[in-house]
Amino acid sequence: MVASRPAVSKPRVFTILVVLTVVGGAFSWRLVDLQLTPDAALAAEVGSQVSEDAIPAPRGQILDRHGRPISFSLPRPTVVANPRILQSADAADPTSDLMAEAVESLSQVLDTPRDVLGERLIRDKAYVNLERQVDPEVGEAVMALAIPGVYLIQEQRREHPHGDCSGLSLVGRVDVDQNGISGLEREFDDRLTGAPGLAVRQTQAGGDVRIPGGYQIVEAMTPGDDVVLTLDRSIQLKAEELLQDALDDAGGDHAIAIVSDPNTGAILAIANVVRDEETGAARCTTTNLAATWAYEPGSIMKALTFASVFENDAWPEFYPLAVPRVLPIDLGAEGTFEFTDRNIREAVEDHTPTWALRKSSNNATIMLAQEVGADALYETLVDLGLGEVTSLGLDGEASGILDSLDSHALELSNAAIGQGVAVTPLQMLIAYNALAAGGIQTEPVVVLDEVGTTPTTRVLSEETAATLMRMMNLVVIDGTGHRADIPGYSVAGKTGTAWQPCDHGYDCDDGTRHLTASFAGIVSNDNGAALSAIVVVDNLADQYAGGGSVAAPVFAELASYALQQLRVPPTSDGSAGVDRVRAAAAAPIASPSHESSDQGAT
Amino acid sequence: MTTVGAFGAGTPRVKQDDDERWWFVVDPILIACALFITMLGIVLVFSATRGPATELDPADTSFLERQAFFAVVGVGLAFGAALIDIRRVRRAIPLAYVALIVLLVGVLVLGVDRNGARAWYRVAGFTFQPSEPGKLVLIIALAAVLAASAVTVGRLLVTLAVAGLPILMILLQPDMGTVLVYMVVVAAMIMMSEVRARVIVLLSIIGLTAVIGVFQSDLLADYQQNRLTVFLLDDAAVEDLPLAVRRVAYNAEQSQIAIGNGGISGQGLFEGTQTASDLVPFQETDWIFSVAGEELGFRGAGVLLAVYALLVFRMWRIAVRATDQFDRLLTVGVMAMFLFQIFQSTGMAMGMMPVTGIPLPMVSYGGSSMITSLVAIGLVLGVHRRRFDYTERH
Repeated sequence: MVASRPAVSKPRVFTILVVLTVVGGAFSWRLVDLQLTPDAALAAEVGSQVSEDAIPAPRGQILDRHGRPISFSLPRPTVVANPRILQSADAADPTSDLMAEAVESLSQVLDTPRDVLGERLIRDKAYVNLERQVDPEVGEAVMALAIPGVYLIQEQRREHPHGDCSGLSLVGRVDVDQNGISGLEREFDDRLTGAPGLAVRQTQAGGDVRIPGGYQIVEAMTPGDDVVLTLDRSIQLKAEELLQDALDDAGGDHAIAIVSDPNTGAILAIANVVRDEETGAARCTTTNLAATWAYEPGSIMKALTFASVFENDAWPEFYPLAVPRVLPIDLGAEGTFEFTDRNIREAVEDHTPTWALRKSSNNATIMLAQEVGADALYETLVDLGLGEVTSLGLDGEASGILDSLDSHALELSNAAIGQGVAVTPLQMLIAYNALAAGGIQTEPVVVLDEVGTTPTTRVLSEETAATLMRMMNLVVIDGTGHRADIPGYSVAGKTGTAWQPCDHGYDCDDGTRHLTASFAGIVSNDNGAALSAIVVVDNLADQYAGGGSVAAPVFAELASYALQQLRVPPTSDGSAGVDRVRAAAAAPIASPSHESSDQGAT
Repeated sequence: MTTVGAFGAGTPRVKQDDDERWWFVVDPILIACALFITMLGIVLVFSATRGPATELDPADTSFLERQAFFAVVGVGLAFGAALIDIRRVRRAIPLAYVALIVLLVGVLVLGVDRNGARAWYRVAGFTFQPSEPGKLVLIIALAAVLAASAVTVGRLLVTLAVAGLPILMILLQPDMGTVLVYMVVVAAMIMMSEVRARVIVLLSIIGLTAVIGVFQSDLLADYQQNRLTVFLLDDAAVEDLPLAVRRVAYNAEQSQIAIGNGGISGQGLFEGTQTASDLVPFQETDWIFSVAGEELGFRGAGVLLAVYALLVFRMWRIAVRATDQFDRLLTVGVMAMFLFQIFQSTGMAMGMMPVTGIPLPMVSYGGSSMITSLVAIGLVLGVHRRRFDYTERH
């Protein structure tokens, strides 16, 4: 076979070769031009048509002890505008006043004054905020207006399940940019704040054209961490509600309740309610009066005075002392001050310390304090934490007023019955917690992680604490605090009806007194103290009301609810407190002679 | 007409046992070039699609996996294409052509719209672009029509009719880039056929007039014209153009920035600023050359172009040595297809050519293009295998 190829036209091959050479040469030159001779203008643009967007990191939640949110962030639309777009649309249409219409309709939808909106919309700016973090419906209404240059962006807004009644006095608030500005929101701001991420957005050289698919997350955002509190959201809400009711009933200025676990120092609820000056109705407040408001506690101080008596072995528990109806205090050059005790009907009666606490006898308490002495009483009160801010170090926390009690003859007497000194409700509850926990005081704690890690101090002997618990139990069983009784549990507590300084000493111009009702108590079952609480209602309307009638019932209701929430079982005999004592009183008492005759018969 | 042994190829040394010696039957250089480009392409596609690959967002390997799968399928089909004697299945050519037309009509109705063109079928998670394998069908069909000792005017008209129908279909999609490929292929095959020189001159004049006429007329929408000419404009002129065209200009500019950023030795594989930041849209398909330019630099991009040149040269060599006009025209068609796509795709990336969506053969991401390119090389290898086989001559 002879090889014979089809002919190939020489000119055509030549033409093709020339074309290929020219084109190939041009390509090579272009590649050289682009890559080997640096073009400053092109080099400057490497990666530069990218605008960076911060990806906002959601703020962490503040949760209650069961993980239920107390404070959390939700996306909310913010109404923003590009005034220039609106202005040019307005200018383009001379037949209508687009600007005025926009201001009018936005003012109605946003409930913002016209002049505020108008001032923002006439600025020569490409971006203004009109209203931040509005409700979604408002955002939809704004978009429905279809105003040129007005649109929505997503922001986060801090939300609370029960509004101000979510324990905000402790939790605190954030500003419009989600920075913690008060309370725990500020204290744990670093932990709650996440790290924003970074995204690059490609834009066309003009800067306003987004390239499809040109959005990339360079660095993911890290959401803020959650903070879990010791608070119980349900108990918190109950406390706020009960205080509002109490305030409405008792006509006070403000009311405070704190619930805690005396064994760990964990705060379960901290509620503050005030009377709204405008509406006159009781409402939750974000001011933490429980820690910032110091007041003269009155008789709830007596439990601490008695603790000092037994701690210093100043008087035996069952040994009676002769208590005069009128107790004179020698003031030296100033003469004599007389305390009159309405619990004493005779000129002088013999009473045990237990009786004194049960009846809240001022004169007996003062006499026992005198047995202790000013220095020792002061020392006990300092040991129990009065006169100093707590380790919580809350916003604006007050230290109260507790000076040495020996500079004036009346100081010791007044301090013994809770006058002339000032404490915060929080301090008082922590002091009571030492009585509940066998004399050991645990520093208060509001963050669940820290429960069990806070320092504990023995401030009283176990015996003293047990004695006071026994005595305070009788206050509830058969004394001023009987309205604090909770069937099925053992309640120990102390009432207080204190005078606050008014226009002239403790007297007000209208002849009344500024009364503050308190009740501090501990609820126990077979396992010991389960919870402690303090309830304070300030400036009672009724001059005959007091801790026993106003604060103790609130304590009972709040503590009962908390016991249910905490699933604390009742005492094993099923009935405690008043019922048990009354049953014991009704039973015949065996006489010693009867006993001996039985023995003789044997 | 003078017969030349192009590139100095003289009378082949014919040996009876040539078919026994496989290295005489295959073109190892062509195969090596094709495999090199295919593998480099897979790496470049991965680089363009892996994403920023942060700890949170690991590298995306889905494109890599699919492209590798297409390559394996393509190599397998190419092997088959090299083994069959395409001349023996001539009777099937009209059938394949009709099938192509049906598919091209069908895609206008059933196809999915992507980037403004209705050119793809979507089947079982894969998309299929009939105009890609259509290139091969047309090349084979035209080779059959034009493989005559003398191409008469009548035969030429048949050729133009056969080529015109699918081109019209693709124009309707509309896929301007592929239309250009088809037209270049048709032109090259006519030029290398036994058609009289004056006819070629005449056709060239008609063609040029037609192109100018189209541009002057209202046949092309403004944006289509702008797309084709935007690479000639400077930034200021681009500013005034509509958004769609500015996106095209942006794409072209980003690609040139990327290639310029490569410098001599490149930013390093997976290290390209523009590439890693995903700044060049559609970089894994039509703009893949910018990845090579930025990450492999002048050296790497130069090597890639050189290997392409070698590949095309081997095809030229095979075309010239072909002992059959059908085989030669087939090879010329494939070669023209490769040449134009390489020029167009790399030229577009370097800002020398209009912006039209044309894949870089065996490199750009996409199954239809990858398989078509590899099968085309298989067909050319088949031509090479048959180069001593005169018995079947026509």
